[in-house]
Amino acid sequence: MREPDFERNLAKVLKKEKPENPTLFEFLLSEKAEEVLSGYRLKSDSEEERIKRRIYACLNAGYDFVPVLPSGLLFEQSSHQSGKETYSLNEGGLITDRESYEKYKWPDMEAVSYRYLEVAKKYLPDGMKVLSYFPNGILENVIGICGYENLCFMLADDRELATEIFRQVGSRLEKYLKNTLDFDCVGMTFCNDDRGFKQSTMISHNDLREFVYPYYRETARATHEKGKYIGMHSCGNFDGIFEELYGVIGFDGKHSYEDVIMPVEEAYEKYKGKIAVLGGIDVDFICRHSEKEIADRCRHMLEISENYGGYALGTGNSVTRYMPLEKYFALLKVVNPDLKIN
Amino acid sequence: MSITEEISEKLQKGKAKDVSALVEQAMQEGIPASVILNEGLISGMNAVGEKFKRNEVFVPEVLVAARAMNAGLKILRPAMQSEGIKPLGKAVICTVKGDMHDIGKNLVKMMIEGQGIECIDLGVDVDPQRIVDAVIENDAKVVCLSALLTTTMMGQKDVIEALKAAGIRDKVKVMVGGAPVTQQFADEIGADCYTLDAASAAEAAKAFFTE
Ligand code: B12
Repeated sequence: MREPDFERNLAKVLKKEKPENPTLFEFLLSEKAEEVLSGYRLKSDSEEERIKRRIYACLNAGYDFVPVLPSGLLFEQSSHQSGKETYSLNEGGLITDRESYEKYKWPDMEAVSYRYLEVAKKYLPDGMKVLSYFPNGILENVIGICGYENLCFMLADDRELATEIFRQVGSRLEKYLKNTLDFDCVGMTFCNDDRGFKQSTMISHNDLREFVYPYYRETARATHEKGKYIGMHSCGNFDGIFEELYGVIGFDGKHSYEDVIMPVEEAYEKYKGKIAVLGGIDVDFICRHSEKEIADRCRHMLEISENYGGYALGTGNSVTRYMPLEKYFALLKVVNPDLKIN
Repeated sequence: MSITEEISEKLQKGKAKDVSALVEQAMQEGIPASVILNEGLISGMNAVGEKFKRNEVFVPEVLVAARAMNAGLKILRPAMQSEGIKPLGKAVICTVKGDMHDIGKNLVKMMIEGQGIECIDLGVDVDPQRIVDAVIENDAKVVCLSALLTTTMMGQKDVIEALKAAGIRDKVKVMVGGAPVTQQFADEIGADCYTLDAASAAEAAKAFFTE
């Protein structure tokens, strides 16, 4: 089994250096992937059991970290949205104007419990660290609360209201991530916020700068002050503002790459030394190519990043429910040839 | 600047109230509805589409412009009817089975409508058979299929097969798009058209109606 060692592997990648050993990065695993990789059956649906299973899965897969999320900390969104894999981003919207804004109940951050980090610590093997993240990013949560089209209209009609909503969400996310930094087991923070698509970003570059980035910048500053690292996940095309991700906000690593936008090989050539490139083997590619083709592409990625460092291998987005597990395992085996699946 | 140019300008800036007022004024000045529509509203929406294609404006600006277009159309519609202006034809649009992503689909719909084409929107997660039924029922000439997932983009092929099975494949043009879709994939499954963005989709759709 590959021994986890956050400091010598992933931390080095995030410093844009060469890791001690080839390193893996993944942000979200499907339930099935977690179940199979961990070989562990949940005894109950408790927070503790779920964390335990995720740690076993990450350990077996060969990761140096485990992503841990608080349970019960969510912004209230339209009722038809909660608990579903997907929903219409256009429907509903709990806040559409001043009046609904005044009525909205924002989660009380003082009531958030960080107990789950203690729980994680209990089961965390030596060398492994926690990646702390929030349930969805700033833009994602604001879209969830307002509805995408409503938000777009608000950005044109009532920017003051938009500013307040972004502040309510952004300041909470920032506070939460900062608080997790006080725990030794946390090695890195992570801002997962899908802000783009094939062509561009979901709101304008200027609006991202005005409404979203200040909170991420402050989180990055606080993270670095504690000597820890910060990564981000976002799909989409960042042409024109990619440089700001590291240059202005201060992210150490970026996750999510799509071949139709910019293949990871190209992204690595362009951004190596500036920001760590995390994952990147396109989801569509993995789903539609053979295990050998996947392994070849992974090996090639490790080869081209061998001298310069700053790269960790993983999928372009996540291990989705519909991704055949053997194909994901083919990727893992490139770094962790002894991978055992029970 | 002529009043139709002014309508186009205000529409591009998303000023719905101004567009409504100007359309009203233009009608009072006796400008034919077809001129207000083509040189004002549609020309404004085309300009927004061009800018969107070149990444000079973002989705929110397109949505706000479409809202202004709809405000203008609402005022203009009675005059359009009395002048006998009809839509170019009908298109059926949806996101395919198993897929719930609808922002792109909605944008394509708005832009196509902006070309004077009527869109029958079947929503998301739509069964191939429902698409076939809608094409027959509405005598649609174009079918627009959006898919954002590797699994569901295969569903675009299922729709083409269902159209064949119903014997109407040669009566409709099939357009495909969405995050993982490429020209190569569109060719593989025998679609008639792929475009990267919604503005190009609207242009292509219009070409199918006017060719
Ligand atoms: C927002 C989003 C979501 C939202 C969807 C909300 C909604 N109601 O639409 C939520 C969070 C719910 C979601 C869920 C999921 N998503 Co999602 N999502 C996205 C994201 C970030 C943006 C999509 C978007 O709205 N773009 C904005 C619009 C304007 O762009 P667009 O749709 O591409 O449309 C443009 C063009 O493609 C074109 N176009 C679109 N349709 C058509 C049709 C025709 C005929 C034509 C000609 C042109 C055309 O014109 C549009 C404008 O110019 C993409 C990332 C990406 N790269 O696209 C991932 C993405 C599509 N999602 C992905 C995944 C994996 C998922 C989930 C499976 C996640 C999960 N693990 O559970 C689920 C699946 C849900 C389901 N069954 O559908 C993957 C798919 C990978 C793959 N190849 O299979 C993507 C690509 C992310 C990635 N980096 O890998 N998602």
